[in-house]
Amino acid sequence: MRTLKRELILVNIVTTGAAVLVSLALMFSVELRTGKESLAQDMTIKADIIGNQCTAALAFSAPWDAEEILTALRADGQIVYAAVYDRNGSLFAAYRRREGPADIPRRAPEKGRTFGSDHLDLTRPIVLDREQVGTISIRVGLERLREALLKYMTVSAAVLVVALLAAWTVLSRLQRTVTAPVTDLVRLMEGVTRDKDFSRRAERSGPEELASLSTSFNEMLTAIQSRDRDLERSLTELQEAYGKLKDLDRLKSDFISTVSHEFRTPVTSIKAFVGILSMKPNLTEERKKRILATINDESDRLTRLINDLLDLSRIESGVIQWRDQDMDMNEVVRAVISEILPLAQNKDISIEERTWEGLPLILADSDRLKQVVVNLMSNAIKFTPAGGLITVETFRRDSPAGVAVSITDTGSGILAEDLNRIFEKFHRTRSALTNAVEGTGIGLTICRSIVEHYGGSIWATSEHEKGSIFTFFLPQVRPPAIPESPGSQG
Amino acid sequence: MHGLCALALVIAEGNVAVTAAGQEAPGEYDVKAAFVYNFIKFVTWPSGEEPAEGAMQLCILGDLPDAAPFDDIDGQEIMGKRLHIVHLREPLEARNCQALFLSSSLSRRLPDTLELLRGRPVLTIGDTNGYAQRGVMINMYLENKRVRFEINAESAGLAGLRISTKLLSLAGTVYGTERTGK
Repeated sequence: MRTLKRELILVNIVTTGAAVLVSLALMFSVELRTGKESLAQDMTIKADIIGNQCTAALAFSAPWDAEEILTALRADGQIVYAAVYDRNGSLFAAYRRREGPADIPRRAPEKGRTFGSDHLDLTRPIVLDREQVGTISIRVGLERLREALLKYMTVSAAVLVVALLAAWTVLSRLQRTVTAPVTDLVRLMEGVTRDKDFSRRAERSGPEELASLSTSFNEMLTAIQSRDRDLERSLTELQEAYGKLKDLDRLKSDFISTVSHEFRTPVTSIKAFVGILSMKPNLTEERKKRILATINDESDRLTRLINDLLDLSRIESGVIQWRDQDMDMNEVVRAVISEILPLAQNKDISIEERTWEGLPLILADSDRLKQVVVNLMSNAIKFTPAGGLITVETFRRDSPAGVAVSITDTGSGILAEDLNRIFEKFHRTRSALTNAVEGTGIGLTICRSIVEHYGGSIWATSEHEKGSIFTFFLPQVRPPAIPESPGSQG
Repeated sequence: MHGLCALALVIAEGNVAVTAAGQEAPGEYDVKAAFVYNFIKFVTWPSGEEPAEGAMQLCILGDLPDAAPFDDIDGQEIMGKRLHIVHLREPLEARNCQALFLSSSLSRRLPDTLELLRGRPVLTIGDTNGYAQRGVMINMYLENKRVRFEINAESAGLAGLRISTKLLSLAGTVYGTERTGK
């Protein structure tokens, strides 16, 4: 398997081997040159010394003496032969190695040196008193040089092997600085892929490239993590929206069943009374009158219900016509009180009016605001037992400037848990349901829609079994930020 | 230069064999003159004793059977100096020579002459039997018709002259050192 570690070691060993080989080859060639050069120099010196020794022999024509001198060369086993020639170039004296079968030239060779395949030929002049009196020629065997070079090569091979071993040993340890971070990173990546755990982080270590690889990998993990978080948040939001939609759907179903129920009750009673009238023709006039009055009441109730529904849908869809003009809230309140007073008196409920004189005029549709006050007062009458008191107050408010209206009853009150939801569409308090009090559950929603259309607000406070206070506030100047009461849409 | 070439020829050929008969062959004194000329090359004079003119005076005292070969080498260059052959009448004149050839005719006056030269760095050369034993530094003789020479190293040493071992090794006999006899 081609691992990073192996590749690293291989590359290094090849590099080291090549470097060592090249340097050894260079050193070998240098060694060969210097070996030859120093041999030639040694032999030149030797030849010159011997030649100088022979000057007297040459001067006095004593070849026996020259031969005796040449015999001294026996000490150097490398010398194959040595020959001295007289000034005319004729062989004068010679020495040859015992085993040397070499032929000695009869005439003096050219001066200089020549390297043969296995020998060095060296010819030097013999000078006496600045005058060449003869020539000396030496042939040197290269066996010793070869031996030295062979030894050198053996040592070189040993050096190569040792260098490679050393490189391998050192690299086996040093490669960890490179491979360990890579291995760690690979392990981390495998772990992340396997466990899908994107919270892990790579340790920044090793050479620059690996460190930046770790950094990039960490950044990638961070990106994945934040994407995961975004996804999770989106999912939560979707689930919330889905939950709201489901709630809304449930509310709509509730509404439909409520509305159906509300429709059926008056229709059933109308149908029943109509049946009585048609089946029992001989009823007393008074009885007939009462039945007809009831039928009328039920029809009114149906009409009111239908009107409320139409109003709400018109407000919410924005098709309603607002006939805004300067109006006095006190007038609206008084008109409603006079309109609703008979109803209150029927239930033996008294109405107290506390109007604030000098209220500022408000630019609004007085019919719609009347509707708000009627709804609130109808509710108050509905939930206030006989003998109760309903107080209607108007205030002037300064900050922000506007008009507030509050309707206080002495009714059963509203449970704290219901207070926040009574303005929601289709919501009816539990007590309202159990007491089967008439109502559509959308009266307060219509109130809120109208008030919010004018940039105002509506709220309720209540104390159980002591009564409720419904207050709405209308600003003198409609704030521009709230155009079409979006709160009622949601 | 002609003389030198002739000498070279003499030395190179015939192993210095001297034949009395042959007219063309080099004569005995041709070889002897060449030997003398070569002796000078293997002798070192004490420093400070060279003549200022840079000349090497080879003086000849007494009569020679054949002086022509010596006159032939007159004017040659040797050891960086000009060689002058000077024929002397009186031994007294020899004090300023570097080398002095003493002929056989001087045999009787030899002790006086050598006494005159005592302490002087003059290389004395002869070709008479017994001269070496009597104090002449280099003495030539014939052996098997070949010119050979013997050396009195003691005399040379006393005169402050150094004779090369190369020359000593060629000498038939060397007197005045441990190495005596042949």
